[in-house]
Amino acid sequence: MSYGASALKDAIINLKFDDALKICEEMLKQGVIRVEEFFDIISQALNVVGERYEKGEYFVSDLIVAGDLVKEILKLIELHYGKIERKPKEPVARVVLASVRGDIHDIGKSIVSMLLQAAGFEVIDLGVDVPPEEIVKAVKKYNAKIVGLSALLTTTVPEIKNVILELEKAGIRKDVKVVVGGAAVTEAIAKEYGADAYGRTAVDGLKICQKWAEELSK
Amino acid sequence: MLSHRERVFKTLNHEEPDRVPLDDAWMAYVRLDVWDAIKRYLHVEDDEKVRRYLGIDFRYLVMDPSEKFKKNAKFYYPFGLFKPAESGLLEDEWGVKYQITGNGLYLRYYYHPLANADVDDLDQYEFPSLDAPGRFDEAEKTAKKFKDLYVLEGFLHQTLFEWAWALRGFNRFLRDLYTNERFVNKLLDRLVKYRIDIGKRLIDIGADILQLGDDFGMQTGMIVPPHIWRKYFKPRMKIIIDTLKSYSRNSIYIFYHSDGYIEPIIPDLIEIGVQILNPIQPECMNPAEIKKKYGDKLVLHATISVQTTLPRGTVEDVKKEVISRIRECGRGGGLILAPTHAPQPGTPIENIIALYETAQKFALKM
Repeated sequence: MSYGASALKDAIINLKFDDALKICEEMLKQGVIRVEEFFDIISQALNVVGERYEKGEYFVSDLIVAGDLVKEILKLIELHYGKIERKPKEPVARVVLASVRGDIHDIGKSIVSMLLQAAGFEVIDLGVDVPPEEIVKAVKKYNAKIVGLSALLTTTVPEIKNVILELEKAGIRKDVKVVVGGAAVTEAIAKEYGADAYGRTAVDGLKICQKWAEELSK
Repeated sequence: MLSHRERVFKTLNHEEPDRVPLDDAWMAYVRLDVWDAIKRYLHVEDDEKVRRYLGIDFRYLVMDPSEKFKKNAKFYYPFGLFKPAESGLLEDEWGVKYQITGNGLYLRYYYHPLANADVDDLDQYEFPSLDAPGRFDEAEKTAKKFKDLYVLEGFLHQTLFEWAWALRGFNRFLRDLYTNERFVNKLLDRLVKYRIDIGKRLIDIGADILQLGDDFGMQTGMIVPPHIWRKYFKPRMKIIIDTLKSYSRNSIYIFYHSDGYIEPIIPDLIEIGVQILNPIQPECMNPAEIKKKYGDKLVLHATISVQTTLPRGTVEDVKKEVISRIRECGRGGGLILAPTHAPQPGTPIENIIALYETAQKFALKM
């Protein structure tokens, strides 16, 4: 087995779990690269994974396994270096993600989270079944500029409106962009409930966030 | 007019019946609140009166929790019987724990009993006994009452994949598929044997159809790559189907459920003996296209949208969808109508009623 940045990147891209962890351990032991370079390798690898998903070569399980692999690699890095605060690169923004109250689905949201992190966003993933007040609390706490909401059930779609209303009540609606997605959401529903955009797929969500991040940086 | 059984068997054998058969979408089992709303709308108390009014041609044979479990369990409306666990969690007979969501409408997986197990731990983990008193009592009563009137469908849902990940955790089990073949093989092999044993009991009780299935589809694609499905799940589903078909002397029909988009594996499902495919959500796969490609070998089951038409459409929209579905997919039999899943709370009840009323009135004149 060869070791090095290229080997590690390939192992992540090709979901070679055990190989990737062995390579990472060896690279950490030998101290061949700086910690920031590990993050770059991970980011580049996840970008390729995302591209393969977009082309239909990779499936949801591939993304989830890639995400799990990256988490294991980050644990190894943390074990070696201690806790590292990773600052988001400019010009990206902080994104709060949540499946709305009552909604237990998180696969799509997790894919969006992974794609955003690979693209350099800082993601605060609040999980599933998140009440509107918790979402607004997180937006204020982390000074997030983007909120991504997922609703896969017809019963939970109206919660999107509740989040928008809660943002308005908190006086921060105009400071935040809201993108919504999920099987039960449509462009028309997004508009009706006052969201700023609708992402039909996880990649749509990423592209919308990237466009907003660029606008924010101007 | 044909009897319920004549109608369904003509359809299953790809002959045109008098009207398209109608099935439930597990409403009384999966969404009791919606089922109760239908009863209130129709001003009836009796479940059977509702099914007769809706023209449902099937009845279900379901495995129940054991008497012992029921003694310690509580009925949580609208979800069913669960053992109260710590911090307000609900526990089922397998030791899986659930949390009720913030809106009170759904259960979220909270604890998976095999989350931290390794392959040797699987030997110690006991599945709920099929011999436990009470297990099949209701199924036997249903069969005794209805076997000459309706077509009986035995439940074997969440056959392999879904139950494996319910026990293990979703992300963890997906990772196992890539990195822990021994664990996956052992767990799935145990589930195969268990499902076969249940299937045999249901056949003995009188099932005409066995409902197998696992959700492998998402809205626009599959959860796992087809090659992983073919490696782990296809051969095992084939064993289950072959064994149960042989046990029934080939009388049983095999129904396969997967939500979402699963078109890449439809030819494989036909190859291993699936005869009825459910639900073919129109948002994910076009029922008319599926009929065109596979309609000579597959019966299409359900197809009426619970994501768009039923919850958001008008009664006219529902009628239009039902009629167009019958026209496009009912040629030569091979179509059974139902909502693509139990309609969700908030679905206008008049839309659900309209589905069944329209289909009952539409005589097939192909």
